[in-house]
Amino acid sequence: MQNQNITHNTSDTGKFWLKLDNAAKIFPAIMTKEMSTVFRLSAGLNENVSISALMKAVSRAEKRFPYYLVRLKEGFFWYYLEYHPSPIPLEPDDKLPCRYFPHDGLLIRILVKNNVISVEFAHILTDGGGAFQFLKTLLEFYKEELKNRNNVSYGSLPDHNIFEEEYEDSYKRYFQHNIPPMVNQSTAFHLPFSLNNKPRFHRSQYIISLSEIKTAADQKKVSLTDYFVATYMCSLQAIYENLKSKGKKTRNKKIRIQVPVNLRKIFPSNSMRNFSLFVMPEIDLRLGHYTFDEILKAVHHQIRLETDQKLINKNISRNVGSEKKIYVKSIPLFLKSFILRLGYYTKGTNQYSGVVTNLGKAQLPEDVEFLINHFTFTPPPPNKIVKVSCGIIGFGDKLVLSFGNITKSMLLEDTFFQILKSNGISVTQLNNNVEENI
Amino acid sequence: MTTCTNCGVELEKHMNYCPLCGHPSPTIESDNEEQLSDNKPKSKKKRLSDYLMLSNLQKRKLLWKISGIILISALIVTIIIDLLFNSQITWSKYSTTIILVLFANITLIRYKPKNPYVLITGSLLATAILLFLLDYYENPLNWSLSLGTPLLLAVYVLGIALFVIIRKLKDKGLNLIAYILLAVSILSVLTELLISLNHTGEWSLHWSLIVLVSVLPASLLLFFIHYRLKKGTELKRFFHI
Repeated sequence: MQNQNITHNTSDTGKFWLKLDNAAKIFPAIMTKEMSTVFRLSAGLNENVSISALMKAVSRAEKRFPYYLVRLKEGFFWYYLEYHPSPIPLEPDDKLPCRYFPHDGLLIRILVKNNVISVEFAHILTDGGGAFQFLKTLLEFYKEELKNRNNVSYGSLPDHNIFEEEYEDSYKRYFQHNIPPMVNQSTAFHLPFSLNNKPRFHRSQYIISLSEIKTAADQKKVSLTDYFVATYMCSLQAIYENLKSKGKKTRNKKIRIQVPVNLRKIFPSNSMRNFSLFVMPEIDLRLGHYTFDEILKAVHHQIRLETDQKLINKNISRNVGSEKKIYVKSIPLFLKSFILRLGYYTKGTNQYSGVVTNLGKAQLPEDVEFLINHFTFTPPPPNKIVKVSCGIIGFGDKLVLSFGNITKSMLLEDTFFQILKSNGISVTQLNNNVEENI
Repeated sequence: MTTCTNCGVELEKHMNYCPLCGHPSPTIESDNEEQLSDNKPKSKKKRLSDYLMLSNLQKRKLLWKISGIILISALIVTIIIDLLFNSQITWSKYSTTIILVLFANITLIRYKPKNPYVLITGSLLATAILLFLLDYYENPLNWSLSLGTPLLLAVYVLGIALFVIIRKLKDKGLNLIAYILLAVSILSVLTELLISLNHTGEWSLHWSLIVLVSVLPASLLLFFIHYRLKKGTELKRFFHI
């Protein structure tokens, strides 16, 4: 980060308000108690959490991240975020993960149990990239408080200087006029499982050796994301073929996976708000059965193609362009929310069969790394159409996969790990922070 | 260092309770377990008077009995005084009717405290009967059906609407006064309309219009102060596109 960007001081945050960033605009319209649009990032430490050090660290983080001390308010045309200087809730982690945030309060909470520190964010505030930066800084503060010293010298966010760019909606910065919009995709295949009773959301977590999976991916000359997306698609294909063999046919024969891409890696940005987009690799089951290698090849090339800067520009142009249209702007909020919700369920979410979010390998300063055992990323509860989603994050040699599921079936997870095992990758389940062989 | 037995976090030596979950620290737990279990109910008991220890149902029963005794005593006393002075029932029929209607309302609260529909309908009926009887005592029936009952209905409908709006308000302040003023001005209009219809057979508005014109800007001003100035919400923020 550059020093000339400094515009805010911790003592000078004052009262501010923010427009929702482009990606966040959909969330207030679709969020419900069940589909909370809340995701969780957890750090499993090597020792139990010291509560006094964590309380001090949270207090410092509140000053460092004023743009997360906001609450959602309704305007006449759009929702907006209003500065709400209240302490970030620090709670024992004894309830369901990714719970809905109550009205008029902060959209962030910190949860603790034994040796695990978790942060939960409403997606309205930020994406996985921003949330991980927050957790990383919190862990650095925590480590300093543990050592009882106060010299900040890490590569991430310093204690007092807050950069204007962190508040930014970077989509708008990289929006280009006169670019043709993306074309909507056809409806994809969806899991046929029946839904759980409320509260529907449950999650299961699994650990894989990072070196083992990396070797497997390297052998195929693909990235880890490609490998997991292909395995996910392969599982969905198996479920589809099983349905077909039982005579249950589905009209939608394309398997399409939504893969979030952290745009900060493509466009220079220090925004701490949402700045990610999706690519959607697909296979067409009408063309017959795909082998794992064929799926892997298709996924690998489609992801490379779709993450091309020009195509990403097209994607940004579609999203931001529609927000900029005057007739969209001038619709009152209640009507806009209704239209957005309708569009989300009829066009948006129908296009993909599942979501696989890979936050990549977590990098921390060396003297903080020794505190950490593993990280987990729990994706937001999936909607009633997609039903299951998957979040991945790696640290050291531990790669943790979290499946969020709102159905009564675990067939997708079981098939997913059967495929991994058949490819020679061993898996252990993380149950209440205890590793168990499966 | 100790560890909280509930949420598993490490506690400092000086911490008697876990600041995260509020569970007593293990040292307190073992040392003072007896003391804690003895002290808590005692101190609680001390604070509570006999009345506060009653359940809500018991409190309602008690209040109903007390008000019943007072009202029936008043009823008997007024009838006796009336009989003693006039040797027949004269003015005491009014006080008796009012006391009985009052008691009917209290009985409704005693038996159906959580059913707003029964409470409102029952109370409306009881008050309508009161108006009818008061009119009936002055034979022939003059105003209760044509004026009293519609006015009563207007009061109830406006009252319920006001109650619902106030309950739904997230931030209560000057907006509350503005809503009350609006309700009063609407009631004024309805009252004048009903009175004019009853007396002249025509709808006409005079004084209530003056009330409406005076109250409306005041209400709008109060709304503005509450929603814009007092809460510091800028128009730019609210109307941003």
